[in-house]
Parts: sequence; structure tokens; C-alpha cells
Amino acid sequence: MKGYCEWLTEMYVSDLKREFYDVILGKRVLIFVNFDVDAIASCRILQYLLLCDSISYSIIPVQNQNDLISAYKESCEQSNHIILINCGGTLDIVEHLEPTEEKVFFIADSHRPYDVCNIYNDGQVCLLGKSSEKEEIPSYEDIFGNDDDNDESSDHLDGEESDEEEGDEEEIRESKSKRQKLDPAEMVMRRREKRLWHEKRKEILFNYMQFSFYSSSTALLMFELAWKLSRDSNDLLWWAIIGVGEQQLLGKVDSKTSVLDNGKLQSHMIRLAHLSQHGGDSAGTKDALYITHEKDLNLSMYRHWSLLESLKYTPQTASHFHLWTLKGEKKLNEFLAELGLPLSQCRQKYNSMDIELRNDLRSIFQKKVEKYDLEDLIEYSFNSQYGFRPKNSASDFVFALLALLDSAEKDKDPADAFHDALECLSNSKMDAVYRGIELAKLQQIAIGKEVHACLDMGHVINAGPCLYAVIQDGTPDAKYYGHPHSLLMLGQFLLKAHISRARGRGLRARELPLIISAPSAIRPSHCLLLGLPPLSLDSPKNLIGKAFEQAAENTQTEITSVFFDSSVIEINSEFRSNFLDSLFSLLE
Amino acid sequence: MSDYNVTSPPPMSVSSLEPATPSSRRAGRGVRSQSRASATSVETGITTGGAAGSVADDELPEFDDEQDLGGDDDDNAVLEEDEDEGEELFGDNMEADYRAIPALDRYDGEELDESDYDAISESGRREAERVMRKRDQEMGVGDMRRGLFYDESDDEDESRPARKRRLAERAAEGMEVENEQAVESIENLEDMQGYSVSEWVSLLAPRTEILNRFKNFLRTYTDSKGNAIFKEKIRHMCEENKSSFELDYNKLASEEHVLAYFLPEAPLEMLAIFDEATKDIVLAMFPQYERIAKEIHVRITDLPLVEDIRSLRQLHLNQLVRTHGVVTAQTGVLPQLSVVKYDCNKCSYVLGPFAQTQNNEVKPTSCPECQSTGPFQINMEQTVYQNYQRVTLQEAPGKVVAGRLPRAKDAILLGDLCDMCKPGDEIELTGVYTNNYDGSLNTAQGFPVFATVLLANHIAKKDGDASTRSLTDEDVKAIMALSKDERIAERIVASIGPSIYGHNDIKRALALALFGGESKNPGQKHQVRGDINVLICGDPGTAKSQFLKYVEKIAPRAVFTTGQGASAVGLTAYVQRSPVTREWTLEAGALVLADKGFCLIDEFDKMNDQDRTSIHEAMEQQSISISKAGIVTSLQARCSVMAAANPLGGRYDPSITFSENVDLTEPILSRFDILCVVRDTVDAVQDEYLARFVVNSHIRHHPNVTASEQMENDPVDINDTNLSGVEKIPQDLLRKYITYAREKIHPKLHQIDQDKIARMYSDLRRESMATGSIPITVRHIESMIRMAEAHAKLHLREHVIDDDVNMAIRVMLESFIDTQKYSVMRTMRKTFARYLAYKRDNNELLFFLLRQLVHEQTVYLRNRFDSEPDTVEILESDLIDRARQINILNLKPFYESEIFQANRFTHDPKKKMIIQTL
Repeated sequence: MKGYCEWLTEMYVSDLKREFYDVILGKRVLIFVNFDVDAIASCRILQYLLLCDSISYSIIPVQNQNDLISAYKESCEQSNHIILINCGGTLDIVEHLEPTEEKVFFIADSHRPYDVCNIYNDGQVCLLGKSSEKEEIPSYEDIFGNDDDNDESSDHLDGEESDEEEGDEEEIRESKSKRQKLDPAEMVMRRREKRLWHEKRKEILFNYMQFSFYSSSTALLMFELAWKLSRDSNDLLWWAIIGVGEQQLLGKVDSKTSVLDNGKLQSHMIRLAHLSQHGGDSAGTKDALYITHEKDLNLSMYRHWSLLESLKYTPQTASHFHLWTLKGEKKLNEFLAELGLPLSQCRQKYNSMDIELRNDLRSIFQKKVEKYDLEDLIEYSFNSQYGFRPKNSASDFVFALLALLDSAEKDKDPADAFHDALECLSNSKMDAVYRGIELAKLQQIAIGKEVHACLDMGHVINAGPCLYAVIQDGTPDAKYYGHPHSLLMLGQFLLKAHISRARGRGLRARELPLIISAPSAIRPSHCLLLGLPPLSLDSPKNLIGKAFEQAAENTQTEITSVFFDSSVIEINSEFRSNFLDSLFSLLE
Repeated sequence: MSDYNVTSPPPMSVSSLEPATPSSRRAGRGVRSQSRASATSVETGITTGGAAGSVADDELPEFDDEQDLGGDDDDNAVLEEDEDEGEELFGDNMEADYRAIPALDRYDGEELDESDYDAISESGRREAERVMRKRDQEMGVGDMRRGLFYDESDDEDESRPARKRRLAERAAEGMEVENEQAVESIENLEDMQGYSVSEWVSLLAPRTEILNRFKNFLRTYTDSKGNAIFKEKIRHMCEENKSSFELDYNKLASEEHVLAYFLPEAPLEMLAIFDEATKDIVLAMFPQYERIAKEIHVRITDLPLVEDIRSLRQLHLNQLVRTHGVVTAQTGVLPQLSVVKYDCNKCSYVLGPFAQTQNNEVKPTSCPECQSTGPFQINMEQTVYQNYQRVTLQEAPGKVVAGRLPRAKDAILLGDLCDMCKPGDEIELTGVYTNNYDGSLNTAQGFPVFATVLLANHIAKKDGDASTRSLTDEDVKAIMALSKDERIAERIVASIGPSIYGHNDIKRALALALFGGESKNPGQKHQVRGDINVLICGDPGTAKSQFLKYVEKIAPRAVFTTGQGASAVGLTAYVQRSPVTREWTLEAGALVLADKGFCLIDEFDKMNDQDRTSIHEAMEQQSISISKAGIVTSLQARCSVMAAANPLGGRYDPSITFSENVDLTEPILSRFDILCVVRDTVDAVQDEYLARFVVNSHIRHHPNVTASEQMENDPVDINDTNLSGVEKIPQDLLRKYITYAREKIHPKLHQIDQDKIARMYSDLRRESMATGSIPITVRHIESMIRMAEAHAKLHLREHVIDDDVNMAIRVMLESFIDTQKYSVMRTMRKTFARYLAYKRDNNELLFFLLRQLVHEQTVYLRNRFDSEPDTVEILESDLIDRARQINILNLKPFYESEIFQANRFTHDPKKKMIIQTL
């Protein structure tokens, strides 16, 4: 049994080439991809690899758990090798999908924590990547029992168990036959032990599952696979950068992870640049993708916008200057005057700005950021350039992809939106990216306006244990933020702006999470609920997901869809107020 | 004599105690008068003390030779006297100092060297001189000091401590001491040492001093609250990326009167210095501002020297003056050479840069490279241009003395002043009155005369509407608070034309029109009008024009014309040959000028038909198409038309329909959304109240009435309607409210009751066919939507709700029914009663019915008995019957209501009668 256990802990596939890629080589695979940029980027990298090796595949975009289950039911016949990208890791795959024996799942998911049953199973589910210390995965012994004796649990415990752990049910059944041999006193002792063990197990599991968070990007993982297969190129690297960029833009990972990821990407970048320089044909390089890592202004899409608008709709600057007031705008103007940037130039499209200003824009800003306490305005970022076309930063791409992903409406299928976004990630399709950026601008403007309106009308309400804001049905621009990602951006912006306004007693709001709700753009009469961790915490660990689950249980509300990020759910608008009440009492 | 040299400093120390040179000169003269007695001693002793005298000369340059050699006692006396009353030497008894005093007017015997000297030999004298010079050198005077004195004038010597102090102050402020300060500062700047102001100001030393003083002024000036206002102003200027810094002349005068004195005298030079100083300060605050604005201009406001254009004379030449007038013509903005570079044609060397002055062109004479004398060509790329515009400023029509023609003067606007004003604006212009040579004038006059021109420095527009355009955060807050009021609609209606009694239907119509609907542009193909057109038609003396005049005041943009004074082209647009450029130009008419605003036309019926038809296009398509004189264009005229007209024959005849009553054609009538019929009916009670209102209004608004008196007379709130108790909105706030609503609120039609509108329309159409009054067309559906939108805007709502639709229908119906024949009107009122009752107080409705009954009864009584009754009695049952028709059953509250009692009705329950005492 010990050996079995040890084998189980190796459910992490760290040698991707041998244990993952070689397995699927030559077979047909089914890829389920979540709706996020990281997933799309990883999917694009994988797609490239599969194309190289002529492996047939089908990609199925899934948005939430229900999607995954139904999509699996529909298409599981096609193949025995199933890859889940940024989805499924937090679900007990075996229980939810009820796969037949010959199916093998490879999960590359950046959502954490993994479901323990995915970690410890008999080889049907493989988790790509390495386990990290941070995740504090409970040991097998603590949750599934460490020796044969413990298997002899009483019936009622058995029942309890079977709810939670499908995986070891078989073991229990096996052991039932042995039970008769034992004497009653020993059985009482055993039972007591068993109960203690169960309590402990519950606690461990609770601690493990309490916070939802993200690990480093899946796209990076995929890129490393490509690297091991010696198929890496600048294009692939760029996609990985975009995947990592999304996590950073949406604040999904803490600064430590992002620094490490950036470091890895940078070293790859240097290596590839070196290769292409010495590797030969210089004619090709002019046209090819050229990636740089440099200090850059941390303003949303400023290369495609006017500087003034970009400043206005970037959360950091907007909340720093309070740009929703007249006074704030004046202050921004003063800032620009001090920088020596003429307003007429700032109102122009960035492309049409004076070339001299454009060239020293960063250094101009650099001189004054300290005085204005805006240090985070300048950060390192990856920029890319195709031949002689204008430069794009990774965040521009992320914005474009997010906007395209969230462009689904009543009459537009989410899958179409997904394919639009996927299309962006091929180097000849810059038009698609520009379209996405235009859309993203509209989205950012809508978000900026909504934040302004919410603050003006006092829609951010302190409910005691948390802040909450409800965007009413019928708000004109609601279609722009009726999606998980854009709602997340709205929430982050709103939280930042709200806190920046707070003074004195209001500063306590820093320690409160924000619950934000908006009407769903896809399903009428439903609304999205999203929880954001408090701003004062550095790590983006989020316990709202668990709270949602509990609140739904308490109020018997049916959650119509649970996204893979558990802090976003969709419920019927009718139940919202009820649900929120229960949530608040739960958070007390 | 040798003693003298040692003791000579006293007179000098006297002058150093004095703050400024003139007084020290005075002191010097004083000394002279005191020591007149001893003067001759010098003359006599000059042979011996020649060398000593010259030494004294050098030390005290302001003293003449003759005055010096007073005795020690005398000098001390002088010193004392100077200290005591140095200032009064020029006093009233100045002449007394020169009177003959025999006791004193003689040479002091002791001091007088009467002994004879031998003629000294040449060598002996040289020797004596050498000895004396040596002695002088030893004592540190004489030649050594001569060198010292050569560098520094006396003034500088005096001012040194002060200057050091200022330097220390500046150093303490953390400002770096600039290099220019190496040039000595001048304490008594007003002493121009015989130069004219402009010459003095252009000298290096005074110039530097002015620069420093002005900078110091800008840095240190604080207002009464201790705010450094100029820093704040500069910050504001920089925020807006402007390059004009406005400086109040009075502030300058209060602090730096010397600069303030120089400024009007030598404006060009002074302004140049000021500009430079301000730029230095701006750059200290915003180091990178040069990238935004190359130059900073100081604009002088509130200059006290105001002159009419008429009164500008030779005296004012090259001075800073302020004048006012109306801009009548304006050239385009042209580039003017500011800093020129030339290409040498021969060696293609680039000459320059040459800064151009205003009146003459600077040209190089020869090329420094190849010594050729030209010709040179202007280098187009490297030359710096500035904007240049010429406007004609004419005396304002109201300011011209009766019987004189208005005079005009050209003004030159440079840089950012261009396009500050447009023709028609009344402006105040501060500028330099200067002349430029004009050859043609010379030949015309036969002798040299100059054309004069104003070089503008500052322009202030004299209209107040700039304030409404920019709403501050506070204004928005106030507007938001106001919109939360539940009775906001009624308050706004009540606040329209507060000095006009009654006519609530017109007020409501005007309120809706002021807010306006939403214009739509389906598929960017053609514009659907959003503005609401109103026609007020009625008997004379019913305040129609007053209403229009009121709208002119309150509306964000309004143009007022009258039917008689307006021609077709005057309303739309006309083509004219410009007197300046000799080209055909398009001049906007009233409707075009009122774009995005209101065009108010009084006496609409007096207009002739052809002129009236010209506005058809403007009223529906909201554009004006022109094809004349080679100009084919379409001008925007998105304005709402409010017109007032009198009925045919002066009085409105209720027995015939509206279209028969007025002389307006069907196409134009259908273009009006709301038609208001005002009838001047005789009603004893109402008339009395009206009279009282008017009298009170006259009392209250007398120009000399004080605030307390106004308060006393204020509570005269007599009104017959439910608007009586409504608090009125201050007009200023109302104007802002309207501006805000028109700009920010764009209500959407969202889930409105489409059926209701459809039903309404078909009903109306049927009725209109039957009665043959004004035609009901599709336009009226649009009208209804517009009115509903306007009503939503009035509440600052983003959605049109049922309330808005109901109100729109009510206004529409009222307007429609008003236009019917009297006979039809009543039946129609009955049919549409339920729409009409919307938002009306029950009491108001009942009161309306009751008044009808009273009216019928009086007419009956009058006809029957041929006399005016004192009391009118009406059966209660009559009223109850009528009330039932509009679904009002309980009349009790009505009998107790204010409106009932205020109109002198009494209810007698026993007799079942309602009695009105007239």
C-alpha cells in the first residue's frame, strides 16, 4: 500500500516531454480550453506543436463547469486523450465527468487549489507541471488514511466519506470483509481514532480549499514544453508572454510569481534573440517578430490611444488624480504641464504625436513620477514589433484579447468570441488585434464611466464585512462589463478609486473585500457576482469563492454557472438580494 | 586747509543718510545756502588750495566748487540741521534762506586768509603738489578713490546695503542669485537721469532692475488672505497650456508704483521685460514648459486709463490704453514673420536670425560670408512665424453720441489673442496705441500723417454667458440636489417668467421647449429634429412678447427678431461682397446664428408670406441651403423657433377655428409642436388679482427699492392655480439647470406605452378631420415624443417614463383643443377629459368647471336682467354633475380648499348653493 501511495503523489507530470507529449504523439486529442487569455495563449502554443507533429486535435472552448461537463459528454467519443487547459483542475474530474477507464486526462490549469482527488488518483488524471511548496497540499496520509486499519470505519462514517471522496470508496469496500475479525473494544478505540482523524481531515481540507488563487501561467508551461521539444520560437515566446501578461494585468498572481515568470521569459527572450542573430539569415529578421523587454509606461493601450484618454482610463492614474472630478482633471493637467507635454499633443492619437515627445516619453515621465508618487507608472514590460510596424506591448494584446473574449452578446455565440480571440494570436492577423483594441477602448471607457457614476451616486456601499456595489439592470453600457473579465477589471478599478477617495474612518475599507454584481451580458435576467480580495492584502488569494458556495447552500440558491475561477458566479437576478444578505452574514 | 580734507566727509554722510539722490541734492543746496558766507573764501584761496579743491571735487561730485570750504563749525551746524529737518529745506520760507542777513553775509574774519602769498615758482608748485598727493595717498583718498568712484555712481554706493539685504533675502528663499545681478541694481529707478521713459527703460541697468523687481513682485505678492495669487494663476495658466498671464494693473500699482508708472509710458519695452520675467518664473515652476509654449505674454487687465475710441489723440501715441467697442470686421489669421532668416542667393549662407519689430522690416545689408549686398531670400523653413490678425473695433452703438457716426480703429492681434473675439462681440481691448507710416495717406493728405493702430495686449469679452458654459462641481451638485425635488417640474414651470401672471400653459410649453427633445439621426442619413417649436397666438396685451423676451434672457443661446424687421435672407443667410477682401462671403442670418439655441420671432403674422416660407426648411430639416453667387452650401440651423403672433383683426375669435383666426398657412402651422392660444377674457376676480400682481410687481421692482422694502412687499403670492405654493428657482440656477440638462441628459425611449400614443394619434386625427381646425399630421407624433423627452430631461432622467408620455399628451391635447371652435371645444374636452386631467389638481379642475358655470350664469343674468350681478349663485348639483364626468365624486375638500375661498366662493350646504360675491 505504501508503494501505491508513493506512486500516487507523482500525479504531477514534471517531465512534460516524456510523460505528456510522447504519450499523445500520434494520437487524436481533445482540448478543452477555458475562456481566458492565458488559456488561449497556451492553446495556441500547443496547437502549433500539434501541427508540427501532425497530431489531430479538436479544440472546445468551455466557459464554466457545466459547459465542461456537457461538452465532454458530447465529444468524449472522439478521443481517449483529453487535455484540459486552465479548467478542471479544481474539479474532481473523475466524479464529475465519469470517464470510462481508457480515458486519460492531462490538466494544465493555473487555478489553485487543485482538487485533492485530482492530485491523488490512479493515473487517469495527470497534472502538468510541478507542485510548489506554496500550495501546501495535504499529504495523502492525512486525507485518505495511511494504513489498512483505518479503512475499517463504521457505516455512518463511511457514508459521510463517500460524499467527499469518491476515490477511496473502493478501498473501503474491499476492507469490509476484514472487519468481522476484530473485537468490540478495539473497535470503539478505532472508531474514536477514526473520528479524530476525520475532524482533523476536515480541518486540513478546509484550510487547503479555503482560498482560491492562481499559480504561474499555463502558457509559460506550454512554452517550456515547446522549448524541450526544440520547437521554440519568438512567436511562441510572444504568446507565452501574453499569457503571463494577462495574469499580471488582472492581478491574478502575486508579485513574486510574476517577477519569477518575467525572469524566465526574459532569459528565453535573450536566448532566442541571440540565436536569431547568430543563426543566419538576416533578411528574415526584418520581417520577423522582434521582442524587447524594457521599461515602459504602465498605461492602458496608450500606443493606440491618445495619452490623455489613456491616463484617464488607466485605473492607477485615474484613482490617483481622482479624474472623475473637475479638480482631478486640473491636477492631471498640471502634471502634464510639469512634464512639459502640451495638451494638444496629449489629445492626439499617440501615433500622431510629435516624434520627439514620443521618443522620450518614458524619460519625461520618469523624472516626475517620484514627485507625484506614481512610481508604478513605469514598469518593465515586453514589447513586440513585426518588421517595421508600430510597437505593441504585451498588455495591448491582453486588452484586445480580453475585449474580444468578452464581446459575446445575446446574438453572438461565446464560441465565436473565443475564435476571434484565438485568431488574434497569429502574426499575420494584426487587423484582428487592432479590432480587439478598438473594442477594448470602448470597454475601458464604459468601465471608466461606470466607476465615475458609481462613485458619484454612492453605489459602493459598506456592508460591514465587505464592500458591495450593484450595477443595476438596464444601465446603458452594461454589455461591456457583463462578462467575468471585464467585470473583474471594473471591480478592481472601482475598488482602487473608492479607496483612493477614502479618508480617516473610511480607510478601513482597505481591509474589506469588494463584491460587485452586474447584469450578465449573455443571459438576460441573470447577473454575475464577483468577489475581490481586499486591497490591503498583497497576495491575490481569494476566499470569496468558498463563501459564495456556502451562501448558495444556505439560501438554496441555484448557481446557474460556476466559472473556473470560483470567485465569479452567475445567478438569477431575483435571488440576488437574498443571496447577498446571506453572504454578508457569512462573512461577518 | 589740510584739516579740511580729513573732516570733509560730513556733507557726504549727510547725503548718505538720505534715501534718494534728489533729497541729497536738496540738502546740498541747503548747504550751499548756509555756507554762502564762506564761499568767497574759496575763491580767494584758490590759488593756494587748488589741488586740495580738486580733491574735494572728486569726493563730492554733486557739490560745486564754490560751496565747499565751510568751517568745521559750519559743517557741523549743517549736519545737525540736515538731520533735523532735511526735508523742509524746500519749504515755504525757502526764499527766506536767501534774504540778506548783514550779520552773516560777510566773510568770516578768522577763516579768511588775508595774507598775501608770493607767486610760487613752477618747480615749487610741482613740489608742493607732489607732497600733497603723497599725503593723500597715504590717507587713502585721492587718486585711489578716484578709480573706485569711477566705477560706481553715488546711487549705487548708497544702495549697496539694501541690495545686499535683498540678495540675502533671495538666497534665503532658495532662489539662485542670477548672473544678471552682477549688474548693480538701482534703488531709485524713478530717477531717469534725463532720459525719456522708453530710453531709460531700454538701458541695461534699469532694464535689469525692472526685471528683478517684477520677478520679485510676482513671487512675493500676496492677497489679503496671504495666498500667493500669482503662483496660483501661473499654475492655472499652465494647466490649460495657455501662454497668457493676466495681471491686474491695480495690484501692480499698489506694490510697485514705479513699474506701474513706467508701464503705460513705455508699454512695448516694459511688456517685453515683463514677458521675460514671467517666463523665467514659469520655467522655474514648470521646467519643461518651454515645450508647451515658447513665449509667455503678460496681459494687463483693469488698466485705469480708459479712453473711448473717439477720444484717442496724439497724446496717447505709444502709450498703453484701454478702450472698448464692437468688433465689426476681422481678417483671417495670417502668419507674420517673427524671427526671420535669410538665404544669401550667392553663397546660400543662412543669415539671421533677425527679430522683426512691429512696424519696420529688418533686412540684412550684406552677407557676412561673401560680402554681397543681396538680394536675399527669406528662408521659409527656418523662419519663425506668429499668428497675426487684424480686427476693426467700432464704438458700441449705444455709446455713440447722438448725431455722430461711430468711429472705428484697427487693432492687431498677435499670437494667442487671435480669434479671441468674433465680429459682433463687444470687447474691451487693452493695447498700445501706435502709428504706422502709410504712404497712401501721405499722398492723399499732401503732408505726412500717420495711420494709427492698436496693438492689442489684452481682450476681455463683455458677455456673461461664458459663465454658464462651464459648470463647476458645485453647480452640478446644486443641480443634482434640485433634480431630487419631487415637484421640480412644477417649480420650473412656475419659475418661467416670474413676473408674468398666470398663463401656466404657455409657461409649461416654454419650459418643455427650453429643455428640448433629442435629435436623432437614423443611419446618419438625415437629421430628425429634436427642438420644439412653439407658436403663441393671442389677444394683444397678453404678455406674449414678454415671454419671448424672457426666453431670450434665460436661454443658453437666443436670437430675437421681429416679423417686421426680419426679411427672408435676414432670417436664413445672405451672400455679401466683403468690403475688405472683395470676395463673396456668406453672412449668417438669425436662424443660423441661433444654431443649437432658440430663434425668437415676435409679430410673426406681420411678416410677409415670402419671408415666412423661407424658414420652412429651417423649421423641419434644421438646415438652410444656399445656392447663390457661386456659393452652394448648407448651413446648420438646429434651433427651436418660438414665435408670437396676433390673430387676424386683432382679437381672437373663439367661434372660428385657429387657422381661420390667424393668417398662417398650413405647412407652417403643422411645423409648430405646440400652439398656445391666449385669450383675454373678462373675469372679475381674475382681473382683480392680475391688477394687484402687476401693481405689486411695479412696486417691488422699482430700481430704488431697497432689499428690506422688497421683503415687505414680497409675500404677494396670489395665484389661482396649484402653482401658487411652489417655491421659485433662482433664475441663475435655472439657467444652469437648463444648460446642464440640454448638454448632459439624453433620455432614451425605453418601454414607453406605444399603444397609448398610437391611440391618441388616431383619435386626434379623426377629430381634426371632423372639425377642420388645424391639421394633425405625422409631425404630431414626433412632437409628442419630443415633448416626452423634454419632460424627462426636465427631471434629469435618462429614460422616458409613463409620466412623461402622459404630460406630453396633455400638452399636445391642450394645444389642439385650444385651437378648436368654441362649440367643438367643449365636446372635445369631454372626450379627452381623462388625458387632460393628468397631473392636474382635482381642485384646479373643479375650479375650472365652477368658473365655467359662473360664467354661464353671469352671461345668462346679464342677458336676462341687463345688469351686472353682485353675487352669482350656482346650484351645487350642477357642479356635482359636471364633476362626475371627470370622475370626481367627493367635493368636500374642494369647498375647503384655498383656491375656492381665495376666489370668494362660499358654499351654502343648506341651500345647496355655491355663491360667489363679485
